[in-house]
Amino acid sequence: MKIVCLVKEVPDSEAKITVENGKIKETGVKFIVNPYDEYGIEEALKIKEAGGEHQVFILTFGTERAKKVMESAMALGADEGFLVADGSAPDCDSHTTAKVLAAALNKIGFDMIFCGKQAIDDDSSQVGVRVAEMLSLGHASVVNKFELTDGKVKVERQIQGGQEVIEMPVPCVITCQKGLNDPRYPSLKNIMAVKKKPRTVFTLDDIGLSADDVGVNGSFVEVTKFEPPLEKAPGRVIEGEPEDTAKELIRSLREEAKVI
Amino acid sequence: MNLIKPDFTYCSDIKLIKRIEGSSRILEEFPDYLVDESRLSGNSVETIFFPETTSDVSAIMRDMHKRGLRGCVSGARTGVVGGAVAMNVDCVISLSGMNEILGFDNKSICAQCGVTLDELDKHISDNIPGMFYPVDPTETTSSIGGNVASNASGARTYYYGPTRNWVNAITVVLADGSVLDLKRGDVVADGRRFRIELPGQPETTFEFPNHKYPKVKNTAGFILAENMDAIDLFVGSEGILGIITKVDLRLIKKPSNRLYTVIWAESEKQSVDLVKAIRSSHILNMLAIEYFSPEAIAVLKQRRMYEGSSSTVAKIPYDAIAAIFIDCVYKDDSELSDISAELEIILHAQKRSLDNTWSGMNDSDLKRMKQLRHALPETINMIITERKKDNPNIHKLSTDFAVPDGMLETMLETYHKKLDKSGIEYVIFGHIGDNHLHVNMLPKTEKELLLAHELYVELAKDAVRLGGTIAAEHGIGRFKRHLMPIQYPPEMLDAMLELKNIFDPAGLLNPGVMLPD
Repeated sequence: MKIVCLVKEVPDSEAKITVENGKIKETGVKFIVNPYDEYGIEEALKIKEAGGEHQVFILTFGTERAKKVMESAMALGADEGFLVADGSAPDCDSHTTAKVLAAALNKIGFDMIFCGKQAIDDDSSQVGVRVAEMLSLGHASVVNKFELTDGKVKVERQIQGGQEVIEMPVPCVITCQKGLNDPRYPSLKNIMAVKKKPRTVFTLDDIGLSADDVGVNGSFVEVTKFEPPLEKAPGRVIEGEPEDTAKELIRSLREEAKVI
Repeated sequence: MNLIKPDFTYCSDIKLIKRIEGSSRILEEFPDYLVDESRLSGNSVETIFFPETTSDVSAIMRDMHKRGLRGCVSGARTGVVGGAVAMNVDCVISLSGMNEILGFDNKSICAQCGVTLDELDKHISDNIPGMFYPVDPTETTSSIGGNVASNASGARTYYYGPTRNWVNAITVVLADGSVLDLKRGDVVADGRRFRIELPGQPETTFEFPNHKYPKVKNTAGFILAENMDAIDLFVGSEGILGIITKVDLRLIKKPSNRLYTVIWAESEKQSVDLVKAIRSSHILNMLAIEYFSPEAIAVLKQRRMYEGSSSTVAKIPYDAIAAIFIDCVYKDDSELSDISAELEIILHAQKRSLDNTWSGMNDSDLKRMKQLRHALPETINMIITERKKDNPNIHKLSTDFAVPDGMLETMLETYHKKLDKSGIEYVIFGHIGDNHLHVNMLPKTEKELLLAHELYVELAKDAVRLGGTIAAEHGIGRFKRHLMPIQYPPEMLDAMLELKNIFDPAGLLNPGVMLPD
């Protein structure tokens, strides 16, 4: 089985993000594999390690820089890596990103697709599901339990008041939630082994797309600017007798905070 | 020049300095200012001063000196040996309000003493790109003045040395309120002799005996060496000679490529052999080498089992019995390959492989690995808190001994032999690269607690017998001064006392700290 794990390059969760002229300043920021995608990679590796003829592929879409993140993802133990490299990647919305990934998936082939339930940078939570729709595949999102038996997957996802159980045939797309498994750490051996494994960089042309399909041209959504979150104002303790403090609280909420 | 000559250049109006007064009010509303992380209990005081400048501190000391009041010098109160506990003092001088960065260029930074390590790091990364202050004590909320006064160190001290190595200049306010500005290189001992001229006093001479200090990192007492710099009298002086109000620190280029690796070992012996091989390698450029003993790994595995996958403790491989964490610098991919090949050879010699490692290159990888290290004292404190419920007197005892190269195994053997025999539960972890391991004893009963205290002294003697120190990084404070005679002969203790008496004859600054009675 060809198991493909979709991976996104995101800023290090420990990085300090600053905004300059409506754009995120990237100097000094390191980039990592989207942590939710690691659950997908772990699940794929578990299938492979359980035995059988399986291969685990990493697929990512980004600028040339994303090659490093593709390699970091491969260091967890994947067999092969693919990067669709194009300068337009940062301007692509979820629809366009899914279009690129779907085209690349058609090119490399697949029997099963995993990805994170969302990326920790834009939190759009759409790409996995859109890829499935574009490829006419079944999908389940925010999955926290996964089983594969005889070409059939059985997954569970948390819903209000309980667990939803879904069964479907492969190939399908699973978007992974925390709790699905314990993503492993890369060993130094696997980090070094990446350089000896096949790594392919596709251009848009290689996967049958053109500049018109991607970036601002191909997207429905355009990000016009970024703003850092407002600094939280310090809290205030209202002291006094309960009768007075309650009145003061209502007054401040109404007149100062303007929330009631 | 070997003359130390402070003066009264600046001094504020004592009446204008912020303070809290009234011992019962202080006890009720500001008890935190009376204690530190040592959990020793203090007495209340009449006044807590909050100076904002060196002039303020000078005014406070001038006033106290006139009135014969004793003071506790208090920074961020993160010390673990009771250096900032208000005990037998009349007031607390809290330096927490002295938190301004005073200046910087591309290779140094000048800060008031109350600036915390977190604030310092942030200022450097925001304003001096590519540079960093390399000393990394675990407690990043500690103040830089406290770091200098205690000659603090951290995991990376293995490579960069302790705080002392990074201090360019300091400003110190002495017990009489006079101010001393010292720049490294300006005042140096003439052999083993300093001349000291305090304002309004005749010149005195301080001459110290020749003493062979342990060849390990050491924060026990004053480090008095031939041709030493006068700055080094104050670095590590634990506030008993003067109050450090301003520091100028040297910065260096931050290494851009770092490889963090946890090596999972099958036994303590294997870990020690791995450390020896890593230390003697010419290819590996280590910033830090840390150790988790079998007891430590067992504690972490237990917590993980108890808390399940939501635990902050990662899932440790089942065959891991002990572990080493290494922080390594590399220039480029080719050097990374060399490092990996070298580690492979070292591991292979121990019948282990690169499969038995976790590695990463990003800050988030480091954070995940550091979580293991942080979870350890956290878990130990959880265990002790549980035991305190049955007996509130119970507390952990943490050693801070280091021994010279070549003595690590003997010290470990001694720890196990004596601790196993005592029956007291214990965990060992820490800076194995510097032969500096922390033994945490976790007594269950009052009887075990008593035994642990006895054992502590005995192990201190063992460490000194092996050529080591009783206090590698935590200092002496109020907690360990009874151990000083174990490490130093009477003539050295006399010299340290003489030094104290020259600068603070009335014993106004931090009485009861560092020097034994």
